[in-house]
Amino acid sequence: MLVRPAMFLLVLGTAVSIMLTRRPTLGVIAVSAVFWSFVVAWQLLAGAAVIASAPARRVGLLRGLDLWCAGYLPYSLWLLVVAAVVEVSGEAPLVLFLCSALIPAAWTVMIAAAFCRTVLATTTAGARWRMTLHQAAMLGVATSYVLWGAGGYASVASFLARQVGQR
Amino acid sequence: MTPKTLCALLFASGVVIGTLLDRAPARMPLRVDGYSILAGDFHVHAFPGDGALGPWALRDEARRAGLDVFALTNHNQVVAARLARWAARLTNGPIVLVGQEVTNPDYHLIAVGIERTVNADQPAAAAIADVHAQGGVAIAAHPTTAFHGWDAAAMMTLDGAEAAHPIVHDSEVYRSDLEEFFQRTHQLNPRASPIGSSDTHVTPTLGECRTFVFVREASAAGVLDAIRNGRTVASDRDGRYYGDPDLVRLLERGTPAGRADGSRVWRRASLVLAWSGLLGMLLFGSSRGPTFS
Repeated sequence: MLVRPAMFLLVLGTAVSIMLTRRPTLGVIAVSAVFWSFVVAWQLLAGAAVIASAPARRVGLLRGLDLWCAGYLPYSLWLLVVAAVVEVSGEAPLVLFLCSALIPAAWTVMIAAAFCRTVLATTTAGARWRMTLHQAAMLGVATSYVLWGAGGYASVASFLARQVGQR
Repeated sequence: MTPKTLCALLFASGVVIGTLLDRAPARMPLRVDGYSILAGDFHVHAFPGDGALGPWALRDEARRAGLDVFALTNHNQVVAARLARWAARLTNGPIVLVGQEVTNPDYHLIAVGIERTVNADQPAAAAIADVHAQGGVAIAAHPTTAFHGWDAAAMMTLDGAEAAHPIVHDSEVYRSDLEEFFQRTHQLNPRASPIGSSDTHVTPTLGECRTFVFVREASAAGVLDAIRNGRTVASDRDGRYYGDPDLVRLLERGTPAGRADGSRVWRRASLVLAWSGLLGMLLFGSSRGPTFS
């Protein structure tokens, strides 16, 4: 059950190592994987909630979580592409990254919705509301972290206003 | 041997090469006319915050970047910076200074050498006074004309202003914004220091723009003293210097060390091996995974 989350953390740690230090080193990969493991922990928690909400599911919780983690593939591939772009260009164009992140986001929703219908045996409507809640929870946590990291709502709003003003 | 095993071996060999290459040579700061010249970066972000690299790894990267000192300055918090300073006590390496990017919609202020978070919800002059009360130095961060919070009262108490920052390479307008801001600050406070900073978040740019600090003593106190007294020269990505012509001449008598990345070929090889190995592990690993319809 831990293979897929561990694989995702390996990708995350390697991407951080390549983007920030221009090389894959064991120390940076390991430390970054540990630091960013809260992302996977939150994903697993959200996945467990989704699985537990489906009484007619065809698998147990652990097997369900293992299959749920198959949905990490789109973001794993996106991270690798982002790392390659930063290495080649030496820059991290924010708008490009945010826009390109829509691709793994949409792909993940499709995988998770299919997971709900096939593994959890939900209806299409059931899959839809579960995915809506799941995405809201993920977006909520991500937004909260970004707001905290960037110095608060007012700072982010003024940053965005300056970005728009430049264009 | 299965394709997935082969990819795992590729990845492992890339990481092994990358790790073995990771040996930044020890360096001694330049000494000119009784000063040690330290290379510093006083505007760096890290995890937890809006930087991606952890405080521990950041110090190693600073060593690789040829820095003698750096300040970790996350937005409106000093958690990561204090972690970095704590970790720095365990090993030798660049001096780590606790800092904060005091982030207000109308100004961004780099506070270096502080212990507690500075309240960002106040005018710039009051925030600078708080920084000074903690024994720190206050530096205007990327002060383009988009920031309206800089009045004369604030500017005359600044210890420095960023004259070199990655945005000067994005546009000549930004370059002239920063130059003009520094000139105005310098007129109000002749001791104000020109500062070069990378503002690193998620790119390998640590120390790309940097500050050469002329210290009498290679310590945190020595660095803060030099910034307070205008003994710095800022340098941008192209190696263009900003600051007192006499200090620039002193600097030009030596050759400041830059990044120490080792062999470019082996570094690239480690990247390609690890990246392609990981990609293969993902793709071959998922090919036998579940199929949802």
